[in-house]
Amino acid sequence: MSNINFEALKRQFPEIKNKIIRLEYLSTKENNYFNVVVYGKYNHGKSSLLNALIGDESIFKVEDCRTTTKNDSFIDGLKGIKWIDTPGLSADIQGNDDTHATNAITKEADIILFVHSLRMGELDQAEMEYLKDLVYLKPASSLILVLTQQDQTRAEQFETVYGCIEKQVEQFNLKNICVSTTRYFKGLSLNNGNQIARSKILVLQDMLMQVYKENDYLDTELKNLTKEVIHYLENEREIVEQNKVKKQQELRQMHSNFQNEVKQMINKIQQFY
Amino acid sequence: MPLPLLIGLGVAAAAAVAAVAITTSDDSSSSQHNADEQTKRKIEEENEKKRQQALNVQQQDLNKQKLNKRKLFFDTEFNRLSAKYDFDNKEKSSIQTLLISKENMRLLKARIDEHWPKTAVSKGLSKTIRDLDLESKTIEMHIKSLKEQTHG
Repeated sequence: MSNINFEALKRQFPEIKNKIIRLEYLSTKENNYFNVVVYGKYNHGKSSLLNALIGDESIFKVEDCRTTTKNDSFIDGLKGIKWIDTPGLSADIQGNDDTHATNAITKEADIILFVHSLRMGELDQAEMEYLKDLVYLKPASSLILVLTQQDQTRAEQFETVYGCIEKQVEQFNLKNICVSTTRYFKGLSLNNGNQIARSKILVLQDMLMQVYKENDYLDTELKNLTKEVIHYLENEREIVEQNKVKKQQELRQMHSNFQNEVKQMINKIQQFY
Repeated sequence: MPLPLLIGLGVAAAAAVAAVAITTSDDSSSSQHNADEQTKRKIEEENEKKRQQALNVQQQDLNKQKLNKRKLFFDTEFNRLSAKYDFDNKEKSSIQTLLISKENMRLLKARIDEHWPKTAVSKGLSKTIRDLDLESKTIEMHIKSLKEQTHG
């Protein structure tokens, strides 16, 4: 494994840098934690969702203002899960938050929960772009579109918005789920099973565990990613080889032209004897 | 002695004298003639020599003119090649000396051909090919190490 020069690969092939970063991470990963990353725009309920999945409201800060400006994580040693919270996308002008979030999903994410609040209506242009990038970067099996704050939308509004979103993401072939963290925590505090069930947080937990329990999940990703990178490199090498042959032909042609010109010149000189 | 005899003898003697005189006169004109011929030949030879010399001078002039033409043509063509293929033309004068003899044409061609690797176009393309070759080998190394990982 150590034979692979990842730094050189990243430098030489910036187009697939993100895939190489992930490949490097998977190849050199020293722990066996299953990394779950939330990703999405600011104030769509990412931190709250992680808290609900962990079952503790106090793990990640939840406020209406922009609180998560760097990647934050919590390791659940018992379950072997590392929960990673990322800053909201498109929240700061410099784009630093986006960089942190992108680093997390590029490198560490074994599974990504793309979070969108139903309260905001359908996915906007920026979210669609983020999703497109994600689908390019990750296999669809490691992406789940989580639609949050279901409790804050009226039933008829929910139907319309959900219908629109389904159409929007149809092309990506993503699993999706609508959840309500408020309902979940209310259910927990009131010990109300119905509320908990309606929140769908447990369903989402099951979805995650299903992926996690596939023992060779990461091995498969590593193998597939390696194959993908090899395929890319083989194509690149083919292009380089074709280019080399073209340049060799060009060199031979130019040499032949030069020799012909010299020959013609000597033939003319001979006429002057 | 009867007169007719005397007259006869006289005529005969006169004829003999005349004959001697005629003979003497013939000898002297022949030697003169020979001398004239010799002088004529000498002059002719000298003229021929002069004509030959003039011809030689003329031929030399012609050769010089042809050599100059060759030099001029070579100069123009070599400069054109040097500009077109972008190479140093400082060896032009030394190559130009080969133009004296027609026997040197193969050597002349060889000497000009030697300039090909020094041309900017050859140097540039050769470097590009070397770089592409290195790039291809580097990619091949990456592929090999990635495949080793897959099989390992």
